[in-house]
Amino acid sequence: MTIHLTAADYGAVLPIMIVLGGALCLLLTDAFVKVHETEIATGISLATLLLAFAASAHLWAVNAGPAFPQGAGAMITGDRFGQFFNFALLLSSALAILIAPPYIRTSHFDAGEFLSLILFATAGMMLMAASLNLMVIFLSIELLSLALYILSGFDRNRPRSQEAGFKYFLLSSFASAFLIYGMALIYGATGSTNLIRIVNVLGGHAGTVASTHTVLSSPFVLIGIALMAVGFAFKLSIVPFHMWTPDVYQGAPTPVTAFMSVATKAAVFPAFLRVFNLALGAESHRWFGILWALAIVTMIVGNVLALSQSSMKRLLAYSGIAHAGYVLVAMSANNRLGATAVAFYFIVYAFMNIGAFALVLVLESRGEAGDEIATYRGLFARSPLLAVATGVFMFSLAGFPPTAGFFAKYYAFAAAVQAGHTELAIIGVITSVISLGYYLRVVVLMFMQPVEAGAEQVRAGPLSDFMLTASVAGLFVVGLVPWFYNLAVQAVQSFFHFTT
Amino acid sequence: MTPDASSYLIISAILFTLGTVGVLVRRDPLIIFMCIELMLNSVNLTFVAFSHYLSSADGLIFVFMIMTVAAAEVVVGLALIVSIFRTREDIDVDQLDEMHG
Repeated sequence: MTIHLTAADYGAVLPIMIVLGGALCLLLTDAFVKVHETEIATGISLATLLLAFAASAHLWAVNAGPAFPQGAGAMITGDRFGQFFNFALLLSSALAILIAPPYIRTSHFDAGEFLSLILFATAGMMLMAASLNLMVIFLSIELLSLALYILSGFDRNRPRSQEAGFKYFLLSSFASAFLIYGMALIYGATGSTNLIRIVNVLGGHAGTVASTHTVLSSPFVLIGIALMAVGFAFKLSIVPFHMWTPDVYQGAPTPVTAFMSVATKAAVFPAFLRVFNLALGAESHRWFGILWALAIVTMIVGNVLALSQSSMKRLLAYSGIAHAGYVLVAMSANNRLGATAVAFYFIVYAFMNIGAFALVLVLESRGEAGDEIATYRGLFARSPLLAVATGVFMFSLAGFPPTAGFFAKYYAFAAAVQAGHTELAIIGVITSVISLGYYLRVVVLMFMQPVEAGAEQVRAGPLSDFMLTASVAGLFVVGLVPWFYNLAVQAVQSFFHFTT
Repeated sequence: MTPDASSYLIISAILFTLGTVGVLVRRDPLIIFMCIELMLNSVNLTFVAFSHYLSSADGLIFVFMIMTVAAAEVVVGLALIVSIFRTREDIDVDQLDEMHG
């Protein structure tokens, strides 16, 4: 059998190849360039991300219809759903790299190695968003995880960073084992690892597969679903599989935390959607209960535990857990609005969450204890821009209109109501009210408390200033201009093409 | 008498459970690491059994992927363990408790 690769096949992986190529370039230049290393490495990585963004936008324009260019046996797709998540992933990677240089300098990191690992992780995430086969999902989840293990433990001489890297490594590979055991059972039940073929077998149109051999026994499907849910839940830090999150977020270098808090979720959720809502869509009566319970527990536990944190990174870790719960609400609705809400959420989440970490980063790069919430007292007097921007991020995370955070949450809960699960939306709103307790505490400290005598002014540096301004503007623009939401609607049209 | 697919599946389920229990009860990172490898290999056995039973090659290719990834994980994992070992004398996971709350 010969394999014919067409231009469309290469086109579908072009954005991923650009990011991988950029990462290799970074490693090469790192070997030769000895002056202005950080500036050059940052420039190369941002240029790579921009180029990949252009390639992704081109793919979006080319794959205009819901049609699927690579045929039903494909492992990777260049569809609009994947491209939309590529936009979110490239955006979060770029925002994290924009605020990283001062931190890289003060921690004496090797800029080339550090940034190329971020690019490798980004490539793995993009591959994950584009995957149409359980095998590719497994490979890409490992590609992104391996890079993130090293990044979490990158500060080799700081025990907390070592501990973060090692904890993340052990728990994440433990979760991978569950994920692939689930995949093995689904493979046994359906006879294929290809998501489209799984849809056909479970949807009752067998015939494309060697259906005579198909086991198709329901215990395999049920256990497979449960095991895969455990695997995905670990990666998404969904309660009760969230224990690693606060420790890893607190211990890892702050630019890494900012990056992984958004990008890992923006990569795993599309794959989670493709596996559960698409491939196992016919089995939704089996998995709905699992996701329903996980969503409720995650929203409650994440928001309640965040209330008592004194470390900003831990607070944001629990806030991240809570937000994973909101997205899970949208996903378990299992309708078009739900998938749209998931896609829209991550564009918004990239701006507000990485923005919130920027404050920690700016203070840490100055050698201050940026992680301690108590040090934010009177920050408005020390740096108006930083304080106002962080205030906007906090209001957006809490879900105040007119910031985009409100609309993201609104669509997520609206999807649950449309699917007839008003209880999920009600619990979501109640837990959002609880979340005001910790988001507003930060705002009150910054604006309404007097600054300590002798505290210096804080200047963030040009790149960080640009990033903060862009994120604040982004939060209002994405929220108020309907074009972005329409983009998500179009992205989801390609996703649901197969189930109808 | 050749054993049928279900015997292989039962064996691999037992191995997977042993690995899971090992990860949860042992405290030495290397042993935990070995238990994770045991879990991965029990999955490999499942894939091979299904692949043979279904006469489909997908499962066999998956096994190669898992073995490659497991090798890469060993590299990163051992490197992390070595870097921790350089700064402290012993590595018991219960002592990795600098952060909690």
